Amino acid sequence: MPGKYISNKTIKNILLIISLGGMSLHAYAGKGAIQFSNNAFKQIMTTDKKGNKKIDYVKPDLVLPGDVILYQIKFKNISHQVVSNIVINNPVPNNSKYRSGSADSENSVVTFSVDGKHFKTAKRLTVTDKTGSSIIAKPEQYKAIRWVYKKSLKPDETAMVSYKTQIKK
Amino acid sequence: MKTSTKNRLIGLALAGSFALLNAPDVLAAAGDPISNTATLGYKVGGVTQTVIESGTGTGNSTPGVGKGTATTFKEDRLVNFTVTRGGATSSATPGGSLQVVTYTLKNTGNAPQGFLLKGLNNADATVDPFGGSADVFDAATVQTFVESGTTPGFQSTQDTQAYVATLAPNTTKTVYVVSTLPTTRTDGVTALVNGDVAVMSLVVQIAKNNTTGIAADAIVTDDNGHASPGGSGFSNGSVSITAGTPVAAIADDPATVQTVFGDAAGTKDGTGAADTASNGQDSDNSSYTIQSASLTVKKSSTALWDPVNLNANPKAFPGAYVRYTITISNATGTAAADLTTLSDVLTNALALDPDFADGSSANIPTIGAGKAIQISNVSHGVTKYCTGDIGDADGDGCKYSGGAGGTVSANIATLMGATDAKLAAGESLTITFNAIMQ
Repeated sequence: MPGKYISNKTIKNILLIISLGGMSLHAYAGKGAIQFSNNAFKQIMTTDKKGNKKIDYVKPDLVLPGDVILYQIKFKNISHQVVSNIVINNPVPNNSKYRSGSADSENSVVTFSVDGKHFKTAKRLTVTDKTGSSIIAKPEQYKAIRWVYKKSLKPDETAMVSYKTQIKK
Repeated sequence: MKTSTKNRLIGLALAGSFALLNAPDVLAAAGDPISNTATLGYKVGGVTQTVIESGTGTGNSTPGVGKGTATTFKEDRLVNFTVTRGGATSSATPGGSLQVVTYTLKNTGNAPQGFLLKGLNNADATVDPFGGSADVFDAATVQTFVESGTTPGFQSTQDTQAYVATLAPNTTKTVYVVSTLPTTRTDGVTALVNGDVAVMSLVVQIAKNNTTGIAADAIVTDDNGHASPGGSGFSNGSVSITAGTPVAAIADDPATVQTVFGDAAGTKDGTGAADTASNGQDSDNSSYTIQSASLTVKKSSTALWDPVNLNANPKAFPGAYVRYTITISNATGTAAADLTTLSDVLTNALALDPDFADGSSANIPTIGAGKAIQISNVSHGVTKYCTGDIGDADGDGCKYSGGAGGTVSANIATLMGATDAKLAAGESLTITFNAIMQ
């Protein structure tokens, strides 16, 4: 609208759009706001001379059927701004089955999926059995895990979720 | 425009997630890379950002699908298998050939494997795993064969392979230990009797997949400090496996497939020593138990009819009929016997009654003229009759050589058939005919 006066409110909106656009461009151009890692460890159990059992986690170098694998998923805010609405989707690895109850839920809402599309809590996730009845899905039927992180992540703050699988026999 | 960008970003996130979710869900197998990538969505200042895929180590911070690094390691090769004897001792006969003991071999590892086989005798006094008496004899020419799948059960013309070329994980093969048995115990003097036991072992050595049964195919060391004891006499005597030299566990490597012997301890190894765990061999004991038939043959006679007294207290004089009954019994607790033929030579004072008279006062044929011999499987309740013709011209299995002092012959198997010619433990069969005094 040539020659028309532009109000202060309109200018503020334009600045806000530029600002938000800048954030998005920043994400595309190089690093995002999150440093995101996923590392696997094999669970080993040792027994000392007194018979006390101890669980350790080592690099998954020698992995055989039946071994338990711990996955640690860390996310660190490497930006100068607060990050929120963090959602982590994680497929259960091939040749592996999810270990019941192993997905930690501290500061997160954990849901599971048997088809990769629909996520529900373990108590509400169902599958259809051979008779057509709806039954609670078994942990080994899970195909994916989702964490909805309930908190915001401040700059330099790191959080972590984890879960365990067992290599199929 | 803003809304459109947001939708595109969400779309990227979903695409990344679902592509990973579609990874094939197959059974674990050695060498399979086990891999996954997590995806993180987030907002900054209320604005949805491009998703970030996970990386290993310190992680990834570059946004976008395909910018992350999968968390991956390889599943190693677990060599594991079981050897399990069949459910019962194998009934065997002294001097019998192709006597069979059955085992089941199962690959419980995570890769297809080949297997070399060896059958073994055990020392006297070895305990029978089925609770019978202890070992007192050794089998001769002990061989091993693999079920071909053509006809269930050992078939010497079909089941000819002495090794298992390949066996997929979680599948089984039936393996037979096949032997010729002696007639005496280990001392070479004492004849084998019912209940005598020979304890046998099947020793299985892990080998390369698609083995041709040769020694070079045997896997004698793993990457975890274990070794096979080897042994001679595999593949029916043609293969001697040199014991492996244990190699110190090599440095683990997530990028390579390493082999680990996971087999449990068995009974005997390839050298005849005790089979230990994680040595690439497994074994189990089974047994032969001697169980031959124990037949008794009893012949009795009674005066049936004479021309003067008829059937009232008949006497044995010329023209009189005498009934002969031959009873064949198999003792209890023995193996079944397949009866074949029986012959009885009459004295010169006797000739066969061609009509098997019934012993009534009229002494008429029992079931009609010409049927001279009655055979009954008493235990089965089956009775049949046959002719006493010369040379068995009618092919019913029975014949008489003719005249006085002739020979009565009965082919029990022909007349009765296989089922009723078989005497199981405790069963009996009778052959009955009349003779006429000359």
